[in-house]
Amino acid sequence: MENKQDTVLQIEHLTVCYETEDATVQAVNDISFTLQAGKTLGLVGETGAGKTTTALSVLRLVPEPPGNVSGRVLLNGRDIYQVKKSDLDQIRGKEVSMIFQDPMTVLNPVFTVGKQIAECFEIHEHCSKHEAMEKAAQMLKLVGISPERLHEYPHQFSGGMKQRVVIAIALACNPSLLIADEPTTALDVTIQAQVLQLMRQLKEKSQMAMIMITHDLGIVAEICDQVAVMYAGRIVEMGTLEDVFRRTKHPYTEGLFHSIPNIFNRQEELKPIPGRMPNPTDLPPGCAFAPRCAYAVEQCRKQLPTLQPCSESHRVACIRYAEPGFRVERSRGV
Amino acid sequence: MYRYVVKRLLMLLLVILGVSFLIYAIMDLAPGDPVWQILGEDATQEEYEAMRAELGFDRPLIIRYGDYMWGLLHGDLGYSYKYSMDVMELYLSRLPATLLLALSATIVSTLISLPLGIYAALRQGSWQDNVTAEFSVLGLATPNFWVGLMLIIIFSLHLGWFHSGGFTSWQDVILPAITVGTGHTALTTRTTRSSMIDVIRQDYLMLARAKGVSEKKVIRRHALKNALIPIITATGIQFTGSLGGSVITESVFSWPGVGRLVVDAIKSQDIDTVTGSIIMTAMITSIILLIVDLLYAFVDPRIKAQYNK
Amino acid sequence: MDTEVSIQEKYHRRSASSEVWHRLKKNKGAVVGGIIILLLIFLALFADVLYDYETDIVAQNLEQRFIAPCWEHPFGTDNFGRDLLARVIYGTRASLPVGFVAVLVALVLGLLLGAFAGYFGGVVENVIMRAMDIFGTVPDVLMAIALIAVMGTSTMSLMIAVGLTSVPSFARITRATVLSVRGQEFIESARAIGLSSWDIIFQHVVPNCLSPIIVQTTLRMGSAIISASALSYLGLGVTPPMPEWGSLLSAGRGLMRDYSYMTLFPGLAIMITVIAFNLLGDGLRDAMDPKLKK
Repeated sequence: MENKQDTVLQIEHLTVCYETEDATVQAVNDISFTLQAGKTLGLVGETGAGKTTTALSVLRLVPEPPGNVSGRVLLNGRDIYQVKKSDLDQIRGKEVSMIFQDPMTVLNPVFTVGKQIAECFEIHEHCSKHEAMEKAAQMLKLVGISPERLHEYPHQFSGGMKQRVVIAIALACNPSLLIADEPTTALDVTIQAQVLQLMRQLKEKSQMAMIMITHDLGIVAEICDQVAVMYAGRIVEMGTLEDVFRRTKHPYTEGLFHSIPNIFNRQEELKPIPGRMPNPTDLPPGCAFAPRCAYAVEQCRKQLPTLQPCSESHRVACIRYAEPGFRVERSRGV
Repeated sequence: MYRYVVKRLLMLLLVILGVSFLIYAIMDLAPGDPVWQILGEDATQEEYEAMRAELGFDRPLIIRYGDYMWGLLHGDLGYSYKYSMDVMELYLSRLPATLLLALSATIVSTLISLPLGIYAALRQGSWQDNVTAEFSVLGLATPNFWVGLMLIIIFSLHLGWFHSGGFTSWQDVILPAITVGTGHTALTTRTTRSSMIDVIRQDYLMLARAKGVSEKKVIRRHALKNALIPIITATGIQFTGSLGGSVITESVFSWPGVGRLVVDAIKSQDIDTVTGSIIMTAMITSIILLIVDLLYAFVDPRIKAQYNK
Repeated sequence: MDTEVSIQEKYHRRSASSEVWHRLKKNKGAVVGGIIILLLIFLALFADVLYDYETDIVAQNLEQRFIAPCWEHPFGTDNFGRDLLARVIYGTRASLPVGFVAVLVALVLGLLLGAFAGYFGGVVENVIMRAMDIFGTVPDVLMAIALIAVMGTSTMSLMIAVGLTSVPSFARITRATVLSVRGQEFIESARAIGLSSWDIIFQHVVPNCLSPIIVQTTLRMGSAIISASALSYLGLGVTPPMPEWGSLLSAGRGLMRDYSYMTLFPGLAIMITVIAFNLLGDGLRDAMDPKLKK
C-alpha cells in the first residue's frame, strides 16, 4: 500500500491574471493548498470565481498570453512551471488529467471515441495502434459502455454517454490526480447521479487524488473529503467536509447554504446572497465579499483578509474573527 | 449514402438541364446567323429560307433545344464552321490543357495558402498575421491577367527562363499556373485562417492537450481535420473557377485551352462552339462541385450521418 | 405599438450609424481607401479639364511614340505617341462608371430577388434560389462572354454583363439576411398592424439588412472593375480609342518585349482602385459588425 499521506499536489501562491488590451482580469489571487493521495477536494464557488482557471493552471493549460501565471504548482513534488514545455506532454494525461465541463464539446467530432481513448495509450504507454484500441475497449467497458461502440463517433452518443467517454479518457493512464470541472453540470439530473456514482466507484479502486470543481454543495457532501470555497479568485474558507458544512465560518459559505432550499423545512425562506460578484477587472481594496455581506463592518472594505487557522484543519479569511465571540448565524449554537 | 448520392445525381441532372437551356436560349439570341455563314452573303432569300428549314432553324426554341440535348447525349455538340470540325472533338482536344492548368494552379495555391493560413491563425494578431492579411488584400485586388503579364516580363523576357506563351513543354505550365494560383491564394488563405481560428478555440483541443497530445499533433491532427471542410469547399470552388475563369490567363499565355477557344469563337461568331464549350464547362463544374460535396462525408462523420438519413 | 417600434428603431439606427462612422474613421485602411476613391472620382470628373479628349487622348503623334517614362511623360507614351498618364487618368472615366453601373444592376436585381425569396419563402424562394444556383453554375467570365456575344461588344453590354453575373451573390446575401431579420419581433408587430408585404419588405426588412449589403456592394465594385478590365483586355468590352485600363494592357501586350512600361501603369491603376474599394469594404464590415472583427 502506498502511504496515505503522500502529497500529490501542492499549490503555493498561485496567481493567474488575463491581460487584455483594456484591463487586467484577476482570475486567481494568491491561492495555496495541498492535496494528499486518495483524497478528494471540493472546490466550490459561483461561476467566475476562478475555479476553472485554477484547474487549468494545474495542467499548465492556461493560454499564455493573455494569461499570466505566477506561483508554484508542485505535482508529485515537481514544479510543472519549471519543466520543459516538451516534457509537459508526458505529464498531462499521465500524472494529471482533467474532465471538462461540457461533454458535448470536448470530444473531437471527427474521430471515433475508440481512437480518442486509444490516443492516451499511444502517447503514454507507447502501445501499437492495435494494442491501444484493445485497451480503449476495456476502458469503455469500465465506464459502462459496450465495447462494440468503439468505432462510433461522438455525435452518436448521448450527453451522459459522452461524459463516460471523457471519464474513460481521463482515467486511461491511471493519473495520480484527476481534476473534474463540473463534470455533471451539463447533464440531466438522473444522468448526473449515474455519472457521479461511476466516478466514486472508479476512485475507490485507485489511490487517485481528485479535485472536484462544482457549485453544487450536494455533490460536495456526497464525495469530497475536503472543501475549499472560492470567491472572486480567492479561497475564503477551507477545511474538512465537516468543518465547512457543520462549523461554517465564512459569511459567503453561509450564503451558499442559505441559497439552497431545505426540503425538511419548506416554510423556511430562501435567502439568496444579494448583489453580484465584483468585476474581476476591478476588485475592491478590502474583502471582495464585503459589498454583499450582512456582517461587513467598515474595516472589511479597507483590509484584505488572509486565511487564518481557526482549528487544526479549518481556515477562514474573514477579519471579523479577530473579534472574540464572532459567529455567523448558521454556526450559532453549534 | 446511396440514396443521398442518387438524390444529388438527380438534382445534378436538373441543374445541367437548367444551365444548358439557359445558355442555349441566351446564345440563340446571338447575332451571326449560321445560315448566312454557310451560304455566304450573296445568297437569295429563297435559298436562305430553304437552308434554314433544312437545318431546322425554323422550329421553336424548345424543340431545337431538345434536339440539341439529344445530340449532346450522343456526343454531338454541332459543327464549328471556323475550325471545320465537330465541336465535341474540338472541345475535348482543348480540355486537357485547361484541366492541367486548373490542377497545377490548385496545387500552387494550396501549397502557399494552407501553411500560410494555419500560421496566421496560430499567431492571430501578430505581425506575421498582419503581413499575411496585407498580402491577401493585395492578392484580391490584383487583376490576374496583369500578374501574368508581369511574370512574362520578368521571367520570360528579362530572365529568359520560360517561354512567354504556348504549350510545347511541361515547363510552359509554370507561369500560367502561378498566375491563376496566386489569384486564388488570397481567398484560400483567408478561408484557411478563419476556419482554423474557429477550430483552435474549441474545447476538444483543450482535451487533446490535457491528454498529453503534443502541440504539433493538436494542430495537425485534431484541429486541421476539423477545419478542413471550408478549406475543401474553397479549393473546390477554386478548381472549378480555374476551369472556366482562366479564360483571360489562357489568352495572356496563348494557352491552348477551352477559355481561349471560347474567346476566339466569340470573335468569329462561331456560335455552336461557344454554346457547346460553355455548356460542357458548366456541366463539368457542377459535377466537380458534387464530388466536393460528397467528399465532406469522408472528412466529417456528422455530415456522413446526415447523408445517410 | 407601431410608433413605439419605429421610434425605437430610428433611435437605434441613428445612434448605430454615428457609431459606425466613428469606428470607420478610426480604421486607417478604410480612411485611405475612401480618400483614394474620392480622388479617383475627382480625376474622372475633371479629366476633360486636365486633358482635351480629341488632342490629348485620341490624336496620334508618331514623332512622340515609345518615349519611356520621363519627367514630361511620367508614364511614357504609347505606340501612337499618346501620353499614357493622360490615357490612364482618362481610364477612370471608363472603369469607374462601368463598375458603378454593373454593381447597381446587380444590386437592384439581387436585392429584389433576394428580398422576395427570403420574405415569402416556400415556392417563390425555391424557384428564385434554384434559378440563381443555375445561373451561378456557369463560371462568371464565361457567362459574361456569352451575354456580350448576344448584346454585341460595347461599354453598355459590358456593364450589363458584368452586373448580371454578380446578381446571384447579391440575391444570396440579401436572402440570408432577410431570413435572419424576418423572424424578429418587430416584423411580427408590423404584420399585426396590417402593413402590406411590400411595405414590410421595403420599410422594415430591407433597412435592417443594409449593412451586409453595403459591404457587399463596396467589395463587389472591386471585382466588377477587375472583370470589366479583363473583358476589355480580351477586346470584349470598352473599345478603342476610348482608353480603358484593360484595353491599354491589351495594347501593351504585343509590345512588352521592348516597352514593358506600357503594361505596368494601367495594371497598377486597376490594382490601386480595387484595393481602395476593398479596404473601404473591409473597413465598413468591421465598423458595422464589430463582432466579426478579427
